Amino acid sequence: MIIEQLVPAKSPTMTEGTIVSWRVKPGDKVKSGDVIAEIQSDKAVVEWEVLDGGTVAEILIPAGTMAQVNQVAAIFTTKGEDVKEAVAKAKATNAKLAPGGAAPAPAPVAATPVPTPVAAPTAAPVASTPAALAKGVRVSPVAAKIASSLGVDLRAVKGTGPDGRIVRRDVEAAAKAGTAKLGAAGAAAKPEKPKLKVLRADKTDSDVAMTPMRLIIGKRLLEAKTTIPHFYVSESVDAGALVALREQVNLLDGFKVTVNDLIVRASALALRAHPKLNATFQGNSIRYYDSADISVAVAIPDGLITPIVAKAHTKNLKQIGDEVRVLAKKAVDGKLQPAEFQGGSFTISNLGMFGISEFVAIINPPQVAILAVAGIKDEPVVKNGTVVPGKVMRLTLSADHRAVDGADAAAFMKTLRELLEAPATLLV
Amino acid sequence: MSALTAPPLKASRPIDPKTEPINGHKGILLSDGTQLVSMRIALCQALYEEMKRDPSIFIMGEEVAQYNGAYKVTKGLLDEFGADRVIDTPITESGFAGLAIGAAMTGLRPVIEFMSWNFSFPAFDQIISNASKMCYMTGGMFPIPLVMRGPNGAGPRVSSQHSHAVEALYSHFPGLIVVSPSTPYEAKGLMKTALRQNNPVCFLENEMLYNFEQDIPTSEYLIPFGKGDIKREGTDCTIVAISRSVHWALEAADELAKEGISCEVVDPRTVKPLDIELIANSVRKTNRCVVVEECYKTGGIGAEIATQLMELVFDDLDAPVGRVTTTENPMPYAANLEHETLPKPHRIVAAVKKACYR
Repeated sequence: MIIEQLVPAKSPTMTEGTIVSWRVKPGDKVKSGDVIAEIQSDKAVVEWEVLDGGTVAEILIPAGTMAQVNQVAAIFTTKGEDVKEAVAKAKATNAKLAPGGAAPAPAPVAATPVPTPVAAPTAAPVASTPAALAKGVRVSPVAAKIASSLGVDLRAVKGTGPDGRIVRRDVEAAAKAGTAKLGAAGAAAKPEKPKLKVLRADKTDSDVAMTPMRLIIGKRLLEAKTTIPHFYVSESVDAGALVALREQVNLLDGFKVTVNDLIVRASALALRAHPKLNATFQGNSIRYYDSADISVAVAIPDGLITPIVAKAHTKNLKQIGDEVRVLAKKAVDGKLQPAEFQGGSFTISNLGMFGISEFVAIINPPQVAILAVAGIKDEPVVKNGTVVPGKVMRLTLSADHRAVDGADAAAFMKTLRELLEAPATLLV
Repeated sequence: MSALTAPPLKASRPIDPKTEPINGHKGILLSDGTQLVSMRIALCQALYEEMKRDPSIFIMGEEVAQYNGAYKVTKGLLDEFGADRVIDTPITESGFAGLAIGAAMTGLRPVIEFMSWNFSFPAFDQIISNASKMCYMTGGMFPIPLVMRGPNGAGPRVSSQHSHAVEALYSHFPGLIVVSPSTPYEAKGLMKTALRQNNPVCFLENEMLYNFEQDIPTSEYLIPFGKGDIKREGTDCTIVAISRSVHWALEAADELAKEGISCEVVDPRTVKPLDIELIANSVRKTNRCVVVEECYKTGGIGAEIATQLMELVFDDLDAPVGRVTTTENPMPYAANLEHETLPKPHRIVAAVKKACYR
């Protein structure tokens, strides 16, 4: 705390008096009741006992000087606070109270440092006072509470309360001014990015027998890639609205909708509009399905499996999300029942979580199409003829040309893009 | 006027003491179902109405009958109800308090007047050891429907022994209800509630508020215990004030409004039970609180409210809860020192500014 020691009226009629001598000097520690100076009042020389003790930081009225009652004679601190502002303020007060000082010049503002007169004794080193409180941040409970909701980084806020305490008005002012944004000033606030683990000790080469699962994957995908006439249709989706929608939906307690859930939902709706993609190739016939039963590729230890979200077109985002998470967990735990991974009508393979730019997938026979979903990237997009920052996601459809033609695939992708770029459509 | 909403604090006009009664139970009838009363009339009215309604109520104390009460709160009751129900006692607080507790145990509803709550101290043992414990110690066989009433707080220049405010003292003990009205409207409504329930009540009437005038409903109303009232709405700082301090707090709020600080003045009305939810909700809005009371600081009502706020709304506080109390010295006789000892508006203004970091 900063304490101003005001020149006391030592008699009922005293309005001014001379500070005869100081008994303390800057750096001295003073207790309540100690005599700090002698003052000549209009009646006698009397001792000045102080009520509030502290450490003498600054003496403003030198010995031998006439002083007015209530002028600031000295400034004490209790915790070694910085007194620069207090000194400037006290000097303004003293000027106002000085004879003829009724209409003082504008008080010196703290920003323009007032040159200190040399008169004050500076024998004792000021460094003997403890350093200003530097540890941690002092903040009122409600200021701390609203700081997080307003996105204010308390470490970049200057407190105006006692001892620099950050109080509500400081946080509100910082939020209004846009300074001290969380994450802007404090890079250290972000969780540290894990280091790239590429350095390791050399090992010997090794042969590892393929597991039955890997043998099946190999056999089936070799057959698919070599016997199905694949062709590919790629599309870029402006995913800004999609990301925003996901954030909004996830404000609901109990919701954790992923981009993948949104794509499953969008694909199901698009498949209902373009049934040629919702099919299996039977050798001499093609079977078109009414229901969009979507296989979702899930990575499991040493392989992958495609559990099915059955009747995905009838399910809302929460149902899809909950179902995918249950199926994925079962897949990883090896507990999927055959009905849960056999018989889908369309597959989605999503590598978005790795931030992949784009990729193409191999069709999962006897299905006739598979959608490869890449990550959402911050990229420039053109809006209304202007290049603006946007979020772009690339989708690539692989289709079986025996069952599907280019125009069908393109029409499906166009619908899919339109749904994903107007994602409120996925909520109905 | 609905009898259930508090009327404006300021009376529509002052009572003219030359031509109009300022005591007794008769208010001055105004149009639209209201009457102009002083707090002393409001209290007498509550006693009169309830004694009419319930023959088991009687009143006892020093000079309550023939002299009409030292503060004229019981004026006219002797003539109306006779010497069996309005009884003068010797100067023996311990004696008539004990008598009243015994009467309450037999099923009567005694009201005792302490000429001043300062004089309740000779009866302290009866109040604490008997009145507040009897129902508990007899397993509920003997509830004590006793109303103890009288003037409380500092009068003008009555010095150290006669200036006590006893809210904190009596709130300390389980088993007592402590009522501290700030207006005639509340004095009447709370007194009627006190006379209809079965626990010992310390009804603390502020001596300096007896002449406070207000328009109150003519129709019957009761004010429940434990329900506070917001006397003024504001956004920057909650001032919780009790009894006479409510009026000082309102003065301070006017002063602070000129400097752009908007205060919400909350009157708990009963100190025990305390409407902490009302106070906490106000602080959730303002983030700051100053408690004003005529009790002392150590173990005072402010200490209790500050602690409960810390427990309830710690995360909503922007500043430590401030307390403006009677300073911790025996009340001086000198008027200028008395002024500085009491929690007067200038001290409230300073405390609110401190809480607002201004």
